[in-house]
Amino acid sequence: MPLLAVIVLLAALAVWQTGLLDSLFFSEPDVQGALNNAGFDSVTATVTGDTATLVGIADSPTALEQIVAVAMSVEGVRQVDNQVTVGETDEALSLIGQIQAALVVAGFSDLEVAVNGDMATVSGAVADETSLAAAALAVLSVPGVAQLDNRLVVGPVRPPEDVQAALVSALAADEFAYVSFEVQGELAVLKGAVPTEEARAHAAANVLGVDGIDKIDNRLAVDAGLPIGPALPAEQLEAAATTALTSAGIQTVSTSVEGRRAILDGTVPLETIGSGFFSFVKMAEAAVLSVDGIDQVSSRLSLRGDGAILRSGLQALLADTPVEFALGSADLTAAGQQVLDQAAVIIQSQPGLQVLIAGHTDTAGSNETNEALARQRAGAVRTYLLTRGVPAYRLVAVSYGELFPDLEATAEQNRRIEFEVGP
Amino acid sequence: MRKELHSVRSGFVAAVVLALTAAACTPGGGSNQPTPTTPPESTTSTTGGLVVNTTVVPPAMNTDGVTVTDDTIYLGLLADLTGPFSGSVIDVIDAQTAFWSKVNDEGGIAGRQIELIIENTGYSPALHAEKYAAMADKVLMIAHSTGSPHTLGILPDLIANNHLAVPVTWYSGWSDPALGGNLLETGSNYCMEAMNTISWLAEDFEGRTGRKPTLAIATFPDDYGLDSYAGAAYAAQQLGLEITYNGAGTIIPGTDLLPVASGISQSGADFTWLAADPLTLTTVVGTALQLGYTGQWSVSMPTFSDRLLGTALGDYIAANMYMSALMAPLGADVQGMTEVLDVLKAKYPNRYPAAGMVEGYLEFFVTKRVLEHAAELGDMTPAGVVAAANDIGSLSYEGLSPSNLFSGDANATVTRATAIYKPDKAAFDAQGGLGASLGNGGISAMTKVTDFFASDLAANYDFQGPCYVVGG
Repeated sequence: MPLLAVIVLLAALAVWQTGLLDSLFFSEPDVQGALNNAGFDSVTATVTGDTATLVGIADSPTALEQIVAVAMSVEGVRQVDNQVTVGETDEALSLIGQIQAALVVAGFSDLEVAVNGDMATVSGAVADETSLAAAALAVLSVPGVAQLDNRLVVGPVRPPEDVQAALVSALAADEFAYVSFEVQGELAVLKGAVPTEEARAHAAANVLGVDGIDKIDNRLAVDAGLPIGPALPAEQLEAAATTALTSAGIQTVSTSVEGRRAILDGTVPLETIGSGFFSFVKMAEAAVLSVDGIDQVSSRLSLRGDGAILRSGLQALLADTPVEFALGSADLTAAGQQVLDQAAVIIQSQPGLQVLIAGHTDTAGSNETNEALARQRAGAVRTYLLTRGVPAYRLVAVSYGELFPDLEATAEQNRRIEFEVGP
Repeated sequence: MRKELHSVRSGFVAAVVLALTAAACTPGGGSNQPTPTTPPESTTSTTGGLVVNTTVVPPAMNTDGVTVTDDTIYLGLLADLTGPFSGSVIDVIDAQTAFWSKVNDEGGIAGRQIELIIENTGYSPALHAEKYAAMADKVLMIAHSTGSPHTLGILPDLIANNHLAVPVTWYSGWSDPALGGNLLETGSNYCMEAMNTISWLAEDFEGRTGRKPTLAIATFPDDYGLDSYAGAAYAAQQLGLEITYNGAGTIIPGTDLLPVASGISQSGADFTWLAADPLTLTTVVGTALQLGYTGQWSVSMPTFSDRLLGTALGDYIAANMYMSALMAPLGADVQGMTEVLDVLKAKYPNRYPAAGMVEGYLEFFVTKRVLEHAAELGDMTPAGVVAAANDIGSLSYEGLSPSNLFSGDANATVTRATAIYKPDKAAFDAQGGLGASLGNGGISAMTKVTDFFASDLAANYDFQGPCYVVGG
């Protein structure tokens, strides 16, 4: 072999090994150019090997399909990593707002609007043919709208509960065990995770196939580690998780289940935290993960109980059965004591929350007398609750006297005890 | 924490440690010497918008094997979970656990998970000391210590054990070189907040009425209440305000507060300065109101909770009360709040948006920063953590609290700026009152009156020691 040929061969080999050959002889597929030429300026494309990754916003599901098709049509592209979501650009949003305003003025407040360039798409249901024409005129009256894709139908809109049920069916397959959805008009928002890109595409296609859904916001993540399998009924898993927690000696934690993921709510008992807060959390998580059908767990455990539950429980109790005292004194009646027995149970069920015991009176008599009576009665309630095991630090007696009368109540009803969940 | 304090105290500390080690009665005192380690690898990352230089310490790094193992760092928390401040402190601790949980999910610190050993002190100094003694040889540092007298009580042992502590108390003494050596405080103190708030109120009142306001003062009896009283009394004296009722140290939880409320009511003061807790506030304010008090109220930060707006006194409080702030309320429009809200919303979507959670974040933040720096320095022993804290210099909290300077003399390092807020009942009701939740975008229902500021009195105060001297 001539020396020159050897040199050329070695040089070519070196160039190839450093990857320069690719850039010299093979140009990268111009997906971005193709998208721009097709009018999809809002989408950004990057190419790695034969895969085009698309990021951005498509005006409609149809546009999304077109975007993917354009990318796939570019020579050298064999796969598309589609991260484009269906939504609106700022420009489009502005135009949509104007169209919606025009429709509202014309008497249509619940129609769906989308735009693509100067074309407006209107969907939904109207009462009759006259309304259909009026809506179309309203849309076309908006500056910037040159074309109308009129998808309006005459007749009732599909009931939301039907759409929900159809979506549940559309996402019933095992590969969608971790998928949840929200419906906003004709938009379905998909959340959660699926095990593969294919499953992500299937979910989108299935949902778009539901009558009543015209758009999707596909927020599904792809997690190859997700187990594939049917999610058992949530109630069944929650019951099993409760049993597992009880078996582990854990009484203060409740479980809700979504798909195969459990969420722990409740409190970490004070008597356990000296051994490590997270040790208790891990123990609870391990108990729940021992349940067949639960593969993931997240914890919301804390030291404080649920203030809303405590407040509503005490309010409901006193609404039915006020705390009674002997006439003109701070002596609890037997009935008053029974009410407080129940109040003690409710308070103890939600630890870490303090309770104000507020004593009120009617406006008869002097300020000083009423202040004193309210203070003595609130104090008597506090003392009784202490005897029922409620820790002292959780109870504070407050005298409001005649400061806050209920103007619609009788004088007798105004001589009352109220519980407030403390600061 | 001040760098130069070590030269002042080193002899004392060494003597104490030596004596206790010799007596074999102080755990953790003599077994924490680090051994040489592989040089750590430094990386740079961002945390909540802050650039943080983090060092990943190789797993083989030696530790004392008790407070730090190959996979776990143990932190102690001494918290009032059943006492007068439990309403706020539980929020603080729950916030800490949320932030540490996230750190653990992201790999921990120096490759180790964080475990929190939490003990309830019930706001009892004796129990506080007992619980600290029980955990002293098990934890690397104290990441939370509720209460001034409580923290003061364990200070000699903290020094002896080379333990750093984050006090959840804003006693002015922590800036005193004689006291603050092993403590890493955040923000200003009770004394300065009283000076700032009363200065602002007096100027505002005089601007509106053409005369100086009269002042009533009622406080807790301990270092907290009396430190606050010292600042309030100093402000009154400097500004020429008449104190028409002096209830310093008279608010004692669980006792009959009628005399305090009567004193305030009978004083006819234009303003009352309160340094207590939210529950006793309801008793004092409610009773004084019944007895005919018509003045307004200004309160120290620990005295207030926006949950008071959900009580029968809510409308009255919103109309008649100002609150001093040592830190930004939850949801305040400051840079550092984004991470705080993101983490809390994810962890506790159904939880009431309590202001105390910001304090939980600040405690977590300074602790995390010190631990990361100890890892950078290659010494994850208690003494190494103290050294790391001394080496930090200053910390910025991205608007959540005034920046702290940790080197210089007390006059230079004491933080003097506080803010003033007003309870906002309309905002409270608009987000669902006591039914507000983090997941629904709930934030503290308070309106900013002033940014963090130092009044002339606070700015020019010659800080030579605590405003209130314990036993003084």
